[in-house]
Amino acid sequence: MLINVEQQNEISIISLSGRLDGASMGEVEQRFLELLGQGMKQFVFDMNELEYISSAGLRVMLLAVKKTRAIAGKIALCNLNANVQEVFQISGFSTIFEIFPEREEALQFFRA
Amino acid sequence: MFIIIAFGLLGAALSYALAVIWKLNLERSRTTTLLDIGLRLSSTIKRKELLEIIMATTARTLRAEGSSIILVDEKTKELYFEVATGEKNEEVKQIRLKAGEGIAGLVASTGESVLIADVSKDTRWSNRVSAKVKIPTRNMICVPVRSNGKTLGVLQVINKKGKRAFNGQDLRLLELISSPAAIALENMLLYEALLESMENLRITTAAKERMESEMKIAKEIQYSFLPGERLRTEEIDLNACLIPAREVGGDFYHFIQLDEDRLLVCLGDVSDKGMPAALFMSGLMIWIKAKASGHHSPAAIIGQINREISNEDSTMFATIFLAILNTKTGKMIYCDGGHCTPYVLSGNQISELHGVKSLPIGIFADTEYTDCEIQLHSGDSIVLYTDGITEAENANGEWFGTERLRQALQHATDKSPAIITEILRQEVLKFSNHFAQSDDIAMMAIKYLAHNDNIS
Repeated sequence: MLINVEQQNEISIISLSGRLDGASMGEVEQRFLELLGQGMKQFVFDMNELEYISSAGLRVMLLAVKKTRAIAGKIALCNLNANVQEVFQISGFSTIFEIFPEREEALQFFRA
Repeated sequence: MFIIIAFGLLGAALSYALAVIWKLNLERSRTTTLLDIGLRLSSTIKRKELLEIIMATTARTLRAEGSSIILVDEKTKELYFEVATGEKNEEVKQIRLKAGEGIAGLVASTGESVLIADVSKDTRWSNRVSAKVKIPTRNMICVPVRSNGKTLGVLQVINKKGKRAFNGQDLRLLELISSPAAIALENMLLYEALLESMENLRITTAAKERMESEMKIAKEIQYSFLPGERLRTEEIDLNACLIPAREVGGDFYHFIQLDEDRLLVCLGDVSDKGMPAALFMSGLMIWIKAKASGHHSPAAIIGQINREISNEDSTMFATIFLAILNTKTGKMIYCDGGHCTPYVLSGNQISELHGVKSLPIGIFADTEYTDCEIQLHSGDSIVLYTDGITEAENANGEWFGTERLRQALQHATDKSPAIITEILRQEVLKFSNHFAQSDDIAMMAIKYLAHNDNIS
């Protein structure tokens, strides 16, 4: 699992690559909580390089949603491959995330 | 005159010969002594005995008032006295020296022997040890005990008996003794390391056994929540199985005959593995049983359980598929809480059981759940499973996937639930080919047998 974080104005763009599962969830959780601790409120998860997400991986995403809601922040996902998209669809998680095909559209969502 | 010279020469030759013989004897006795020491030192590998033998032998051979073997602590590099011979035996037991401290420390760190013929005239002498031991030291020798380039400790003698002090010959003798002593100590340390690892192994094994027995009990408890693997009535043939990746797991299923006409079935997956998942699953099983009584619909039951288990701080959740089948009419109402899409086998057709996808339970207390409905006909089967099947992996990192699942089911449309679950199990096993199962697996097949053609 590779995690890359870039800042664009007030928005933290978190790019994930590899597999988000039980083995890598801790790492993502830690990075996310760090950003939260720094006072960040707006997050885009760019899943362009993410090959796979397991139910343990979904737990991190759930944590992100819960924490962001608690501070009245915003969260969006973009660039999900077919596999990951399917997992979000089947698990019903697509109903709690704003999901966009491209990063630009995700960023647009924050400007709106 | 000549006679005197002749006698003188003879005398000289004789005394030379005697000297040679004496020297040879000395050499022989020394060799014998060293051989004897070597034999004695190799007679035991037990620490206390060995150290006592080394010290007693050394003191006797060098005619010393006291002797000690000071060992290097591998971890701290400190020097420590194990025991000491002589009357003050007890007092030296506890002494530890910092690396490099005192004569012993100097010898251990430099690897060079030290002979002090008169301690009162030597600045290297530290009073700390002798003050503790309360043996006034007059003279001493300290030599390193080395084996395979590693200093195991130092061997020390204090105060030569009688009026004379230790000399260079004594130093060489002590150095000679230190070689067999080093070998004996090395053997002792190896033996202790062996004992220690055996003891560690014993402790680990005992802990593992205790853990295994607890896990075994946990597994039994977890299985006791399940309703069994099979249900067979006139209208229904049902078969389910649970294969945790570890001893216990987070996949679960349930089936309850609510009354004469209604059968509740459910199957789900807690978003974790092992013990935490098993505990969460056990709680769920109780909630399902509690909320299933009464005439609530699947969505209402799931909604109620969701409210009970949702917690703001927790990220533990479970996907769940729950259905209530009217066994008389074949009408099945179901609710899908983010679970793997079930399959319907009808005739020789298979299709996905689509409906409204809601969130898994345990996420938000206010999630709305929706009921869906399907009419089953005699001979139709419903197959429920968890992602432990579709995400079963083989050594090449490939997944079993939905396509293989569909194919396996395609060949089993007319089979009984027991055979369907067995086929799936075998197919997944064959696919993963002994590659370690990473996720729990649960599956359930329900075949509707009643003839309800007049109703539909």
